[in-house]
Amino acid sequence: MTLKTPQTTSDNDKAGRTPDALEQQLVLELRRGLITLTVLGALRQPAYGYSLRQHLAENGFEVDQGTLYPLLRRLDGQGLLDSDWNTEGARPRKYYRLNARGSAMLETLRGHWHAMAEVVETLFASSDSEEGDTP
Amino acid sequence: MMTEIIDRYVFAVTRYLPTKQRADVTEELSSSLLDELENRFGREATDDDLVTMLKEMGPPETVAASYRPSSQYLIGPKWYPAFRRTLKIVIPIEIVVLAAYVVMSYLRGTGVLDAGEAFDPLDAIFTVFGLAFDIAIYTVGIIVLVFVGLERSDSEAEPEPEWDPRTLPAPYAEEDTVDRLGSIVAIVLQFLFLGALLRYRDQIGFVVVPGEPPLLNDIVQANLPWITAVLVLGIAHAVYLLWRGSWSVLSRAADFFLDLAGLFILWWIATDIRAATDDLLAAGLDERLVELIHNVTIGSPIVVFLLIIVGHSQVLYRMVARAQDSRGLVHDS
Repeated sequence: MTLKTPQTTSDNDKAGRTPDALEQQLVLELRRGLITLTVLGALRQPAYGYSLRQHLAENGFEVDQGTLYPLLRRLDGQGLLDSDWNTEGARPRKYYRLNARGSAMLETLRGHWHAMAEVVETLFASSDSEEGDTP
Repeated sequence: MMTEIIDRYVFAVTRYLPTKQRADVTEELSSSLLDELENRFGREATDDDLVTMLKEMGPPETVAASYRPSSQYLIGPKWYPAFRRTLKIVIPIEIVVLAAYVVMSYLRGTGVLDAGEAFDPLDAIFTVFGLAFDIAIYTVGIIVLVFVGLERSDSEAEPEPEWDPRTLPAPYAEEDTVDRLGSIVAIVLQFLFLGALLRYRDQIGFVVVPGEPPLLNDIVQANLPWITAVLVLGIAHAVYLLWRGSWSVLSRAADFFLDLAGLFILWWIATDIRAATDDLLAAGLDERLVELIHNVTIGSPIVVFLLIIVGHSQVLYRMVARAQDSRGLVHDS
């Protein structure tokens, strides 16, 4: 019988999270703000809940079902998407697609996203060069 | 079985949603879950696969919460501090009032709830604990309802109230924090004392001949406006401290002068009573009792004076020490 070696607590944060768990949480927080942007971007082509989730995952952006499905309804409610039931397939599916208002919002958000990414990169670059300068 | 599990799950989710959304969400979520199941586990998916998948998705209430973007708070961060503050003030007031009520029942010799019954200590304890618990629960409930109402009526579109960082209170030391319970007790006791004084103003004194005004009552009556004024100012001061939350040099000074005013009235009354000792003896009061009254009129102002000096000197010492400390810091820098 092998005993499970308890993970050393010295690496854990004050809440007792391991570095891995902490990383996972921080990445999750980072992505949370981007979900709306990616979903709006992907919905330039019509898609239903599961197909959209698949599409995002195939492109490296996994979103929980419990997050994605409610988000679609919220964006629909905010008037950024149009939705239609399609009853032709094996089961009825609700298709979502970006409308004119959503497209305009997507362009605005993209502008913000690029500007933010640029700022963050500039900040990294300046602190990288400062680090290089210090003896 | 599989569709039954999905139906149960979807039903559980939609129970938390507004009625008009339920049908649409039910259809969409069921369809999405079946898609998910088929694509992940194929057509041969088992109940266990489905259970695994639903557990990954999360408990129904959590999923339902994601469908509702609007406030999930009963009392949100905007109102919570005020809510806590209200509870911290109201509950102790009720407990102090209840305690005062029990003491009054004891003095009157009646039961706590039924004035027809005799005072029974054990019964009083049980009754009071029961009452305190009931009152606390009701109060919390009512205060929660009020704040939920405020939270709901407070639309998000409403602009934040104007505020200015310059008007925020200056940071204060821990020892300058007002003792809330102390202030509440002070308010209630002064209020009760004032009420009793005004209610029984004609009966205070020594009853020698039944039916006639009690001896010394005229002294009490003559000083009543001054006593009332000091008590009202004392209550106002305690309410102000409770509202402000911290002591300042000015409020310390006001506290000291209120105590001195009280002492002055006490000394004035004591002097009047001493001047009337001959009348007391003439009215037939026992000589030893009159001597005791005489001694009390001399002793009580002295005791109160010493208490005031001791109470305030501690604060004065701290204030001087702190002033010296800060001067020291200025020199050091």
